[in-house]
Amino acid sequence: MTHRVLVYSDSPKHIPELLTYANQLSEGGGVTMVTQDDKLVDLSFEYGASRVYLTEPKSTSPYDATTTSAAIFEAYNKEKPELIILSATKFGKETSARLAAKLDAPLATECRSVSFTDGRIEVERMVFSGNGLSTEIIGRTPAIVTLQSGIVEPRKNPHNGETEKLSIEVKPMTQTLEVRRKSETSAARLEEAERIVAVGRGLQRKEDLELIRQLAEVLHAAIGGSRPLAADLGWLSDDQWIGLSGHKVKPKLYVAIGISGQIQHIAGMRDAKVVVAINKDPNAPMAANSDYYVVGDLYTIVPELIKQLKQRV
Amino acid sequence: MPNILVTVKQVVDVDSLKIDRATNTITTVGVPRKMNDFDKNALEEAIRIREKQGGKVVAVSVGQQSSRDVLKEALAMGADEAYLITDQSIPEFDSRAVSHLISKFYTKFGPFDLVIMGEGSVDHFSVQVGPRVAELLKLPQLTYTRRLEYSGDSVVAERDLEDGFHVVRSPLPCVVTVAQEINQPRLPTLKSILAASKKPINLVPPSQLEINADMLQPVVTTKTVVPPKTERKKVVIDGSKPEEAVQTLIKHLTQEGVI
Repeated sequence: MTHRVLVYSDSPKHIPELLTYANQLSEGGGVTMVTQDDKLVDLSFEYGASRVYLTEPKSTSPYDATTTSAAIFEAYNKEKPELIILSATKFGKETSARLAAKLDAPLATECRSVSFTDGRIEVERMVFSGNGLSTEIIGRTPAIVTLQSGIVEPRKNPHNGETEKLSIEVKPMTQTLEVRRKSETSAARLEEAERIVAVGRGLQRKEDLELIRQLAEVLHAAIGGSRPLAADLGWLSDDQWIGLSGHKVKPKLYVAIGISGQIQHIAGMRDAKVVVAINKDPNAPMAANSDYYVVGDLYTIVPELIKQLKQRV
Repeated sequence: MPNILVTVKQVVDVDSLKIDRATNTITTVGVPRKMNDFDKNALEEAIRIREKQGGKVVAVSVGQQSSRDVLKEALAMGADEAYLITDQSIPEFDSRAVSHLISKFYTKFGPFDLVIMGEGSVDHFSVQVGPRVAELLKLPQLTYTRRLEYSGDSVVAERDLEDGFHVVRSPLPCVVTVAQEINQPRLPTLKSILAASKKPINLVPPSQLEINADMLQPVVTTKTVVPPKTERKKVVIDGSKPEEAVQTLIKHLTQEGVI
């Protein structure tokens, strides 16, 4: 069975992956891209879009869900796809929900997989703050999903498709007064980092972060933290927050220092490959979520770890 | 003086979930229920606005009769009125159905100046009811808000998105969804709990709202929920002798090829 799929993403680096996944799902039914950025047209054809709708004028400002959902809605009306896929970014999610209401359609957010099974659409997504993997059935089409990143290897699949202009009359309902960029470094460093040292409430004083910095330096690791440190106490900046509402990371090595391991935190680091934790409490929930759990005082273990790691180099 | 609508949801306590060993599925049967954490932040924000500006905070929930508990809690925190949209013949409403019910409630019981919701709920975290309601009512939406200023005819929200903090002004009415950093929700006092117990929880059957049967028809249903697969080795290393403990740890990490 072939299926028609429509794709939109606010994250250019996610587009190759979304289009690759959409092409697998469509089984030759055709994948259409909608974008506000003419610079993304060629990229879309390179990864298998058979048609691209380019919004005009560029009135559909990025980060305005009202105009962006209107643009996708226009493209939907021309194509009548069974499935619409967006990125599971915060903007992708708020836009997908607004679009879902326009179409009175089902929506499943932050999916890890999507499949057409027995004429229905089945998705997998995390629920219960990361404690459950849920399989959900979408009962009617058109259906909308937002997809997490990192679920398929992007594959080039060049098409000579057509580009069509899509004129959008809708105006934004809100006015952006200011955007304060997060330091590119810490946010990007965390989500793409191969190694992360994360610290939690076990740290007694803000000055003691120096110890964590030294460890991160010998490990060539990025620094993150649990909610109390990053959001509540403000010892770290809030773009260093790892957890359900913070960043979701997937490093090869995750070292959790003085982190008790509340489920909201676990939800942010579940995809780490090897997890080390250093914690005084042998029964903290972190123990069950670690590969190597050192029961001890971080103030003696961490300096020793720094010392021995330095000796290795 | 603003009339503020706040949505509250009763969710399972995700810390107390049980696994049915026979089927390896997660069961919510008999698991304690509580108010969705994010909704406490939404209530707190609404109550703070009312304390400064006057007006009224109306709490509404969609769910089973047991959701009375979270509405009692909302009243105890300081909400002025509480409404429960409930229909015993429908055990569960999906996000689409809830959005239809809330927007019809808004139209019937309004006008409201502001709708404040949590950015998501800790159970399904599908983060869609806020923007859906905004679209159904053709209102602006301000999601992922971590700071909010109300000024009579507009609000300014600081939104936390991946690339930065977006400061956005919206005319009223609008729909705001809040992140947990926005405030520290107050705890009800004994006095406020007693006062709340005297206030009514108004039941609203969907038939009282302009709802058609299709709007309540579930379109997304859960088939199974299983524990996530990540299995950890759970090797415990005694750290009472730091030097040896760290030697052991480094040996393991070298074997894993991560250092």
